[in-house]
Amino acid sequence: MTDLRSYLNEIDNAIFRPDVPVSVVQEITALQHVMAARSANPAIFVRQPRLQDGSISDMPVLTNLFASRELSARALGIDDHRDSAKALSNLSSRAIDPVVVDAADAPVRDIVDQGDAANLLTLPALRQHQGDAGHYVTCGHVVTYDPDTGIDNMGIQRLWVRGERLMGCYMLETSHNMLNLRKFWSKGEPCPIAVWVGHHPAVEMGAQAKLGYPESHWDVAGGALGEALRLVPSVTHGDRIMVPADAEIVIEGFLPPGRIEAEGPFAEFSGYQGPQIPNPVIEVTCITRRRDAIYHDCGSGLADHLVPDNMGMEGAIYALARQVSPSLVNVHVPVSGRRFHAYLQFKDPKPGEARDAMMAAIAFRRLKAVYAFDDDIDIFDDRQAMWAIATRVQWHRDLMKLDGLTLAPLDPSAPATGKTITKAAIDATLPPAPKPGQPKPVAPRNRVSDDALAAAEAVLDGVDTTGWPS
Amino acid sequence: MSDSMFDKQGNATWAQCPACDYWFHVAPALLELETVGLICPDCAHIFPPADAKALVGR
Repeated sequence: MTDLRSYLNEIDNAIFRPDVPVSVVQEITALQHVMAARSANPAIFVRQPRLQDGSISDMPVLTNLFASRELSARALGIDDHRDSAKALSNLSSRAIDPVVVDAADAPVRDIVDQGDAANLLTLPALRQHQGDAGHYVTCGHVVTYDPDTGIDNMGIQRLWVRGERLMGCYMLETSHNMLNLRKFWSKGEPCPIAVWVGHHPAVEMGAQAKLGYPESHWDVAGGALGEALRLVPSVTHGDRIMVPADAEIVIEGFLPPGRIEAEGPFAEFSGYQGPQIPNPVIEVTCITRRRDAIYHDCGSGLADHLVPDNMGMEGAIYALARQVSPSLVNVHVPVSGRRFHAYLQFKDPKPGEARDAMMAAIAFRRLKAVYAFDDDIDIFDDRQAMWAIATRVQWHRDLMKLDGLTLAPLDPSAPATGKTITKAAIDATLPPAPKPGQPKPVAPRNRVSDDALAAAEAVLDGVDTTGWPS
Repeated sequence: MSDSMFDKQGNATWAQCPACDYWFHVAPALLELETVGLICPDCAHIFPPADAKALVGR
C-alpha cells in the first residue's frame, strides 16, 4: 500500500518537525515564508498545532510537502526535476485503472462521523495570511461527477471552513467541477461532492492533471503513482462518488442549488490577495478519516502551492509546443512567474520555429508570457534567463504581442473590465550559424576552461564559506 | 478617468465594514449581487453591499 505515510517514511530526513506548539493562525505559514527566504524547502510536520482557542489539536499538520522540485519530481519517479516536462507530457498514457476495495479495507473509514457528529472545526485548518476570511482547507481535492456520463472530475479548490458543517467553495467559472455543478443546478438538484485530503504526493499531483471534459482523474492518478489507486465508495454518495481508500480525511456533502454566498478574501497563488467573491457553499453530511489522520495543508502562494501545479503545466505546455517544434527540448514554469510565465528551451531551432512553439504554448490559459531560450541557458536559473533577455533581445524584433487572448484567472494586474488580455512572446534565442559547424554570428560568451573551474573547486574544497558576504 | 490606454488604472474594489470599519478586498461581481451579503473577514458581520460604510474603486 502506497500512501502519505509510506512517503513520509521515505523522506524522513527531509522533514522538519518543530518540537514546540505552532499556531494554525499564520505561524505555520510564517515558518514556510522564513524557510523560503532561506532557500530551504523541507516538508514541515507540526506535531502540536495550536488552534485559535489555544488548545493543541490531536491531529498533526503537514505542510510544505511540495515546496522542493527535487522531492516532488522524485515522488513521481522522475530522478531529475529538470525532466518533468517530458515525463509529465504523456501522463495520461501511463494511466492505470483504479480498483475498488471494501470499506473495511479502507483506512480512511477508520472513523465515520455523519450528520451532527461531523464537525469541520475538529480539523486543524490554517488561517494562513493576514486578511484571509478565515480558516481554509487548502489541499482538498474536490470531486464531483458529470450527471450525464457519471464520469468524475477532480481539482484542488480553496475551501473556507465557516462552521461545523458549512464550507465556502471557490470554483472557477471555467472549471470542470463548475460544469458539473451547473448541470445539477439546471435540474434544480444539489450537486453531490466529496473532498479528500492527504495521500502520496504522486497521487495528489496525478489527480491535478489537466484533462479533457469529461475525463476521469483516477486512472491518471494511479498512473502517476505507478500502481492502481484503491478507491472506496463515499458514505453519502455511494459509488457515484468514489474516494481514495488510503487518503487521510474525506469530507462529503452537497452544493445546494442556487445557494451563492460571499467567499474570501484569500491570499492566492499570485502572491496577492484574491477578493471576496460570490461562490457556492458545501453543506457537509459526513467526515471520515484515519484514526491517526494527518492534516495536509498547502501554503498558498508559496512554492508548496506552485511547484506541483507548475510541473504539471510544464508537461502540458511541452506537449502543446512540441507538436510544432521538434527542436523544443525543455519547458520550465518558474515559481518567480507564479503561473504566468513559461521558459521554452530549444536546441538549434530552425528559423521561425521558436516563434511557432511560443504561439502554441501561449494558448495555455494561465500564461501571460512565454520566453524562448537556447540550450546554453539554464532555464531553471532565473539569473541566466534574465541575462539572455538582457543580451539577446532587440525589442523591435523579438517581442510579439497577441491581443484578445483568454484572461489568466486571478491575475492581479488584469483589467477591471473585459474578458481578454494581451499576451507576450519574447524570443531570446540567438541567430543560427550560417552553416553547420560554423560559429553563430554573435559575440562569444565569457568562459573559463573546465580545467580552471576544476582547479577553483579544488581550492574551495573544504573551506567554510558561511559568514562570507552575500 | 483618463482615456489613454497607457495610463495605469487600478482594478481592486474595497468595502468597509459598517460594524468594525475594517477594509477588505471585494470583487465587483459580488457587489452586483445585491442580495448576497458581504462577510467581514475581521468581525464576521454580514451586510448587504448597500450598507457598506464605504466602497472604493467601484
